[in-house]
Amino acid sequence: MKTIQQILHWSEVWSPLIPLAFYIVLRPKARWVKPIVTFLLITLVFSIIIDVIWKRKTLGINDWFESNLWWWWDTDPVSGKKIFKNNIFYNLNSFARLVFFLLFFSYFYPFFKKLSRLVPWVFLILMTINFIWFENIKDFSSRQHALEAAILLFCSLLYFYKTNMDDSVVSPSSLPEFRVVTGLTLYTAVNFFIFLFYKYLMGLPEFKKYATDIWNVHNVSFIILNLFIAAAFIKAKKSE
Amino acid sequence: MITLGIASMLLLAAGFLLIMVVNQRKKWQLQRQMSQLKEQQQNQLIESAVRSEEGERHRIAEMLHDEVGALLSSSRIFLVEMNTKNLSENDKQDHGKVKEMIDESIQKVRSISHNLHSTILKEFGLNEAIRHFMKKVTGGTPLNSTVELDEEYQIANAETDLAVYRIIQELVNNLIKHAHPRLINITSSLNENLLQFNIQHNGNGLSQEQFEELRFKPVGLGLKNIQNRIILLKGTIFFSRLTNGEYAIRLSIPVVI
Repeated sequence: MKTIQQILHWSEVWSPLIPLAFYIVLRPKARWVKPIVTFLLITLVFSIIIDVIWKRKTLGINDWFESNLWWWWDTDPVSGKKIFKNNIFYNLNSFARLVFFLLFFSYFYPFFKKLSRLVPWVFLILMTINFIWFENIKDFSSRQHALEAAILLFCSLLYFYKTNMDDSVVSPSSLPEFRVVTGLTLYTAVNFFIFLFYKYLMGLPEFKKYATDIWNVHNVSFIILNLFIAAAFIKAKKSE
Repeated sequence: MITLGIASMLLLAAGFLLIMVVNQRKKWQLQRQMSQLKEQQQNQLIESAVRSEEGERHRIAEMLHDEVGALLSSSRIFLVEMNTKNLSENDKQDHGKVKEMIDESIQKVRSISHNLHSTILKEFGLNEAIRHFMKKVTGGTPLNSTVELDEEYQIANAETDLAVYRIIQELVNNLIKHAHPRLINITSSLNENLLQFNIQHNGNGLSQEQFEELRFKPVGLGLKNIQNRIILLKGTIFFSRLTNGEYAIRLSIPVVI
């Protein structure tokens, strides 16, 4: 059970390696592959940082953090303990996910092209306002994550609708990108409420364990998203 | 509450996907119906084109036989009845030559007329028409041929027989013109409701890929005609090179007897 828990804890690091390995082996030439691979690389880097910070005691590098990154340490307002937050990387990862998935969508319908040019800037302005006046950027931003998930879920459903209405597409499910969108739909649908209430639950001591446990659901959905991306790469190669 | 939220969101996504799958199925069915209609329309077009071609062939054959042939025959009668006693030796020779040329013209007109509209096919059936055709095209040439046809096959449908005859006629004419074989073997077999012809030759033949390529070129009218007739008969044609270096054309036609 402990091993499974550890595998799940590190899933944000190892699961992007699955589609990346397929990309390296197959090298699909479809244009939409580029933003996805870029996102996978960025998320891999952020996830390594996030998990190394989280597991620093297990990895035996807590002292190094204390002596070299003393300026990053905060004090927990509830327990008064010194804490080293990794949440800023979650926030950055969320922004990267929004930008690169919008870029991915922009390859399919002109509407998404306009959306991919406009939405990241509006999102950036809103988040800047949020982090200046309402939230600390070093804390996990439920608002940012939920908004990002809502935008991506809207894009996914819109993609399904447009593909469904497109008479030139005989079999939408045979399109490689359809698999990426399906994975993303599941990921955003599952995580919208997790993102929305995560910060709130973490702030309540009686729900802290529940919040930590429900993050495993996020991890499982992230593994599923990566498997769908890998399947899309395989299909894209076959379609060439 | 979160669990409820996740479940409702998943339900929403699943519902969307379900609607999409249902719609996709409808789309498939519609596309299938459309392609069936398209195929039906194409077959009707081919059928009417083939019918009008056959009608035109028949008309030209009749005109050649009844009008040009009759005119040539009367000319011959007049020429034979002509008094040649008073003609000089030179003129007598010319008279003989003219008679020979008219005889040859009558033969040619008859041959063209039969080629355009085979009376043998109508009266004696497909097998006899193919045998007669092969005898005619190889007669007096260095080309040899063998014809072994399944005698079990009787006339199934006059239109089918005519289309099969035209395909074989076109294929053999093409072989003589382009492949320059020294030997052509034609065999046929009737298995249940499938009539199969195998045309084997030792010339410079075609592979299936070459046939597919040529039939879309504007110059390959003969191959296009062959393909159209095959589509009409719902049959297949396959070109191949055998291990002994010879070429084979396999023609399969479903027939109802």
